Amino acid sequence: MTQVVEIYKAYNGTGYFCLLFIAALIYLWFSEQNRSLRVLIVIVPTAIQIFFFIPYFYMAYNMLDEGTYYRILWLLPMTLVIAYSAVRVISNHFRIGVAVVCLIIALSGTYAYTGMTFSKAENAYHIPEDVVSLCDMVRPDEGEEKIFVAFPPILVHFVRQYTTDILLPFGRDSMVASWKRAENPFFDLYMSHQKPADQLARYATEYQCEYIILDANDDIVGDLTDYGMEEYGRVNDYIVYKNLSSSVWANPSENGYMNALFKDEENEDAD
Amino acid sequence: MVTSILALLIILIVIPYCIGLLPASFVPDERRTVSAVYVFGFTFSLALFELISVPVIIMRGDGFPLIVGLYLGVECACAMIGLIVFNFAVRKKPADHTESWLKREHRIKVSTVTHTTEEKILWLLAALSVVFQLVMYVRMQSFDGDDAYYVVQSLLSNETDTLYRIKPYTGLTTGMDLRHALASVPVWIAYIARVSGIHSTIIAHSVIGLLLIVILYLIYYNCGVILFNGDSKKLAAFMLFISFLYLFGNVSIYTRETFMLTRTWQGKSMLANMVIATVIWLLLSIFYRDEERLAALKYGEEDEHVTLGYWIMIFCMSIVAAMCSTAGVFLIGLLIGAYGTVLSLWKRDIQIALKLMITCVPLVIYGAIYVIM
Repeated sequence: MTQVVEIYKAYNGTGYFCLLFIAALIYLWFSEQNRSLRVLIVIVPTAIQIFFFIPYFYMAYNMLDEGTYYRILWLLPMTLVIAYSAVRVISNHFRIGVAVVCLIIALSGTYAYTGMTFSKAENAYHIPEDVVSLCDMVRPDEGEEKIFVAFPPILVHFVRQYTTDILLPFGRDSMVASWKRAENPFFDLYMSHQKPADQLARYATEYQCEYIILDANDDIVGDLTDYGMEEYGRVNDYIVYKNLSSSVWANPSENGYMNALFKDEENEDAD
Repeated sequence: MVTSILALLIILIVIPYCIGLLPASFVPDERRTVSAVYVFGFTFSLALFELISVPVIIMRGDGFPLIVGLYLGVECACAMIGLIVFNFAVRKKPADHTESWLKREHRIKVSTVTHTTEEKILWLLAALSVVFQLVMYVRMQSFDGDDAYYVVQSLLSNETDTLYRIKPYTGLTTGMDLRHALASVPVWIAYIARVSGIHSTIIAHSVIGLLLIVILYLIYYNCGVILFNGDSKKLAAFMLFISFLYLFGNVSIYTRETFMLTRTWQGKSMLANMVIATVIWLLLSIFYRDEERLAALKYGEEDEHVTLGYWIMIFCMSIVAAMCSTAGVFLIGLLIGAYGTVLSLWKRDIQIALKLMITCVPLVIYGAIYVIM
């Protein structure tokens, strides 16, 4: 029961829409005269709301799809019920009522387009422009084989949304700690504070990367050019190194780490 | 660019509208609004896509071109059927020649009510609020890690013709991911990208949301038409409140409002918003009774309430729910089950429960496919 209440509170978040919904339901319980409407937007949503808090229902749902119990609350027509009851309430004082209801909704909720959730789109793809520029710099020409390129972890979500011609030695699946993933020392190296140049070059070759991209502010110990890497270009804060030692035709079976990438992983994919 | 826009208009507006005439032929005349016909058609065409794409996805890893060709052909055929059935089922009925041409020739309900200034202001505010959301959808971007799967899956289908056989995160080959393969929204976005020639990611992030947001508000509009029985002022206020609830609904990452505005193009958002709202609208359409009108019926007069079109659409929504997310299979089943149980008890009519159970057959089939495979 405690878990269900926590889920409910998490759903309600920083607002009071759930309270508004309950208030609207109570109002309609006493005021809605139309029997069919009482069943459709009062009785059934009330039943669903009550069932949500029953622990056995929670346990049964978790057997089907763990971690998504909050989606039961999607079945409640909260938006429709709140808006409908608000119109009923203000019917005798319409002009001031509309303004008051809009104010209540604004104060009870959180404005969607805050800086925390949204930022100005840099292009029609809605991915960072740096990613577009980096991909355009390193992607193979049309008709050529796809290549591996190592990107900073902060950018891996976006690369293949722009082009699937670039393969990644680690992607979003490496970023999510709770997902089971194969050992990937290259990713671990990218996430470490200090990055020895010899290890970067070694893993770049073992993961068959034609290029590796690093943040200009990264703490690189040593000089990558001493280990078969050549600075290829720059895009704002990112430096692109060409791996002169790579071979895209290397047999994956000779490389233990590449075997791990090719192996099917049991992980919790996008939910 | 012009060709792309034309292609989008045809596959996303014209063809679905014509398809919508088919179920719309079997609903009451007064409920056959332009918006209702379009929403019918759009959701019907999504159901068609799911039925065509899932067998191909399961059987052929490189079957994307087959899906595109088949679906286009079937859609065009259904659009023709919709036009023909509508012509014979509706237009050929005796018409009242005092009606306007649009109403008379097409039997599509068009409002001819004169609006007061107050109503016009409310409608303007509601419209501005929706337009604001459309502008923000294009001009603003939100980060969601799941795009690294779903949007990439669309791009993979469009660029490589493969279907769920390549890991989106890295690009390496893999076995078919059945859980996600049964929910074919990414492939649908890839289809739109292929036909229009626009990059899949641009379709997802800058194009399709415009349509999905408008459709959501059309669904709520049609709910409001039922709830307020044609009172335009109350309907305008209702729409304004709905749009405000979405604008200020970002109270947590879990709400449907947050999903709608931050993940508009994802199947889960379509499920939470469009699918559930449509099911509620359809149930309202079937079971809502205006008791004042019923009381005014003369002795012996029956309440002729045509509902076949709505039942067809609930059946389609089960398929669309599976298309949006595997979670949709049991969520919509729960929703329909809850309504079926209560409505049957209220009306003391087991047929209601039986009919609603039939509409859940696609959910059972998809669930069985998932379990068996």
